[in-house]
Amino acid sequence: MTWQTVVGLEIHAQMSTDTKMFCACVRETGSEANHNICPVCTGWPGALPVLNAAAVRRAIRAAISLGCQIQPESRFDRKNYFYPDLPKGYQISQFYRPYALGGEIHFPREDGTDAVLPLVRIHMEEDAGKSIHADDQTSRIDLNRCSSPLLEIVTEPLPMSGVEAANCVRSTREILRWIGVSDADMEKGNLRADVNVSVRPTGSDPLGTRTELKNLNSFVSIQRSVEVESARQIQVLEAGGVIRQETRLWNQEDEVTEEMRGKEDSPDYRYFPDPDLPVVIIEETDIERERSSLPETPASRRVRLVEQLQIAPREAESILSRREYGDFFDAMMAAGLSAASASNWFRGEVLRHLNELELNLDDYPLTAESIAAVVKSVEEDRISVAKGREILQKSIADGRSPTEILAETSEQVSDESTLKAWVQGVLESHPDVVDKIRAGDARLMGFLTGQVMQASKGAANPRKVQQILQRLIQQS
Amino acid sequence: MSSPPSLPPRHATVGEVTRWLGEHRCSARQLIDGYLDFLEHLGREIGAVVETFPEQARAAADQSDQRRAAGEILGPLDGIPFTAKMNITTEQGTSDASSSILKGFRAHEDATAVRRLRAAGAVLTGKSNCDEFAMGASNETSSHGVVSNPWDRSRVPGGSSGGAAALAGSHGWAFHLGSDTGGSIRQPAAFCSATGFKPTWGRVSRRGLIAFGSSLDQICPVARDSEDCRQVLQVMEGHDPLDATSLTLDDETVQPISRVALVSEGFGPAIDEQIATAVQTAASQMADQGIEIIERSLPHIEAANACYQVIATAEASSNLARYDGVHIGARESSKDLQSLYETSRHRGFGSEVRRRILLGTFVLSAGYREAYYTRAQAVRDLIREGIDQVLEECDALLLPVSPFAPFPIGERIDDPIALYACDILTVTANLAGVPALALPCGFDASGLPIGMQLMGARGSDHRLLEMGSRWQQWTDHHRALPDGGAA
Amino acid sequence: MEKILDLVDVLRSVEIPEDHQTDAMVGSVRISDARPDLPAKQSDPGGPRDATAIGENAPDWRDGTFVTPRVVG
Repeated sequence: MTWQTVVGLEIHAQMSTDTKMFCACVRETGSEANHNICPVCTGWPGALPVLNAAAVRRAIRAAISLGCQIQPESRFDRKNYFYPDLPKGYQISQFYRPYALGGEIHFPREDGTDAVLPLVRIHMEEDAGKSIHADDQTSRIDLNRCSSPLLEIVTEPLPMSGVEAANCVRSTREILRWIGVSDADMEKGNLRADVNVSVRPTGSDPLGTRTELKNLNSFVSIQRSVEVESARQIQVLEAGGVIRQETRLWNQEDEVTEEMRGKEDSPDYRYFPDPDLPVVIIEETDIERERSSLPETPASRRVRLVEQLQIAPREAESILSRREYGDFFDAMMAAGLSAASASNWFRGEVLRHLNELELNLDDYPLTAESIAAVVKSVEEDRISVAKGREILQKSIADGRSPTEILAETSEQVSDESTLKAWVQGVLESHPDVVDKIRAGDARLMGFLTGQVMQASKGAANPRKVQQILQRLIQQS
Repeated sequence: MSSPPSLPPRHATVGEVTRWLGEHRCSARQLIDGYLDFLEHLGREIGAVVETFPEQARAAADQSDQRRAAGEILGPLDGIPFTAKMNITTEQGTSDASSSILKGFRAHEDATAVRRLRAAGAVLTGKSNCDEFAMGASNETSSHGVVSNPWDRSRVPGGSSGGAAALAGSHGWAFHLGSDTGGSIRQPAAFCSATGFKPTWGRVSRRGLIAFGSSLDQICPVARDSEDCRQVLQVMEGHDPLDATSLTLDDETVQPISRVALVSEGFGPAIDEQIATAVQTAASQMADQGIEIIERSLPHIEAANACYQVIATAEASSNLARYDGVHIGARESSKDLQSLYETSRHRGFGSEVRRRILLGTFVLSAGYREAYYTRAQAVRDLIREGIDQVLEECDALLLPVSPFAPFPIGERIDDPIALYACDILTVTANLAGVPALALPCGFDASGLPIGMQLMGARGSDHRLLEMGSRWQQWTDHHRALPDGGAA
Repeated sequence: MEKILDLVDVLRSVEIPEDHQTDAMVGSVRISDARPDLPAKQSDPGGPRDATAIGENAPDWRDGTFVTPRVVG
């Protein structure tokens, strides 16, 4: 008997707003515990939630990009349960009437083919705080994260492997980052997934009983937990047992899923519409406003780069890998560079700098315009390629702009007679090398070029030097 | 040696005191000193006062006097004393909703309504006693002790804003903030012979009101007369960015009320005869003054109390979940979390609160939700539509506030059904979100106060208050003070 | 409790429409009227609280966190 694994996902992404979902506290990760909290997100008596407009706008962008039907009216509901990281004793979510229905995620199968994972809905909700286990049999609660704005993307169940489940989450992450809705960084905790796993005999139609694994925050754990849990279920079923619908814990270290002790299998959340929050109206104009400000999708950008601008696909990939990279590349072109130049210098210099210095493009000190100015100087033969690269490097080190340093840089010497003089001087000093070159050892050209550069104290135009060397050596 | 202060008479309304101060017959400081004296003596005697803020109040009074001397008063409430119910957060003192579970809670911030009033120069002098978490109709469930009715100390002042109403009923000069979810300002106002007003839902910000039934709650003024309530409303009302359900309402019409409908269900067999007679007499008096009196029936009113109980307790069960002993609230130390929750809440909440949380949890629970909560919401809409329709045929509705007179302390506290019966005439206004004004309209044979209420269409708050003022020009029930200290 | 439920059962006698949705009380909000994404200062009404105020009201507060018995799961 062969088995098929079926997976459904609930992906939680924290939206990248400045303030929280229902209060004007700063939405910030990584600060001192209980540093960004107010009566609202801490659940003090008398406090009331007030919806963040920017969160709704981001939610709309996500729904547009995932092809959902946005509901003109939606409502917030209270999900009631007790937990120390949930100070109000309820979470404000959307249960009965979410703001978006349907939609789909495109993801690659293991064999590389494109597949579609249909969505049930997307809704907005607030996040809870964090509990950290201390050594002394206590837990320490930090409410900083409380009431951060979340999007919950709920998918339909679909047959897929663990790798493919991770791919679904990866695809979702790319879109959310691309459209500026969420930083979606699993390590920082602003993207996590709950995974629902069930198995059924291949060819069978009805879905098996599913179990849930919550709060997975790495692609590896998503993949492995699906693999391990489906294997466990198959083992149980083959031995004649039944699967209990339950939430299980993913134990990363031992790579097993475990029963959760003392937890209700299907708690009653007693959902009811939150009487403190008005109905959310989303109008056509709101949707249009977001749609028109959405950036070019990765797919259309790829077409533009490869087909229109003739950039080699392999080169295009690195520019496409982040939205900011493509934006920077476009800015370099807007500053007057050709696509080929922009591509070469972006990959050869900018990406290299970011890599070496371990920087994000956000923190990169050089602007596209100033880099373009340097590149133009090189292309107009006023400075050498090496000089150009040196200027950029120096600019980062000194903190001065490339254009400033460029202004101080003397142009390379390209005058024929001057160069010829230096070349002749070097040729006269190294007759043996000249002989070897004439005899066929072309490698030594580099040595001679270097000698001319030295003689000129680096001011000679190396390209022209090489041309003159070639000519003079061949002539005599 | 300066002449002794000429303080206003004990029964003086806020409006009268404003004029007194304006005529420099005493200073705000002298007024506040006198008022603090009342609070500390009679106020505490009847259990109405939980905390006073003498230092800060005197400082605020001094500032008021300075402004007055410079000709820069902030408005008619500048220098006027007030109190706030224990379930309204204030920067000063504690705001514990009269519950052990919140004992000592310091809000560090004024409720928006309080902030606006202080910004208008009103002087916060103390916090008034109330039923625990505003759940009650007799002020017998408070962790700060029972409040007595100033008209008969063996009887209840009503609830849940028993302290506020008792203070308003026994002394003038000031106004008091309470709250009303199912009658909690109107019923005690009626029991204590004070004027209490519940605004249109959303008119006054609920930020800083410790939530009980969110879709029913409002912060309300109780004072000596309708004009006092109007002055207070004027300052408090209006949209607050910290309360998404708060509204700035333009009053629907400036035409004074001229047609009033007596609500038939307010005069049925369950209503004490003396009360029914007093309200009918009031209607005749209005008719004598040119008001057209008709009679109307409110549909579904027999279901109103049930509807209210379900919705209020459902919302309360959720609103009170935050008192879990984890981040606020009294905690019973425990080895494990579950027992921490259970014992803290069991010990910290009184029995009435526990009962309501239980009912509220039940009506929302799977399998019962449809029959109770969903159904109650639908009935609520029918009640709301019904009252809206009747209000198209008249300007206001008139009926008693309470089916019975103030009852002896201890008589009903062990019988929740008997206690819930207090609400039958008042819950409709909260369910429909309409404004309602409780006005003294006489005394029964035992000398106990009787109150009547006017209800108007949503947004007609100022119109109702204007009608109340006219009523109070034609009559003088509202001027009486216990111990014969009348006007 | 039984008696209260009896009282409440009077609701059953009322005829109600199918598929009822209650939005009547809360009203609605357009995005343009919703709260702008600007952080509040501590001095603003409704602004963030400092650790002293939080700790003062907390039943068990150590090292800037709320302390509870060990949370399982």
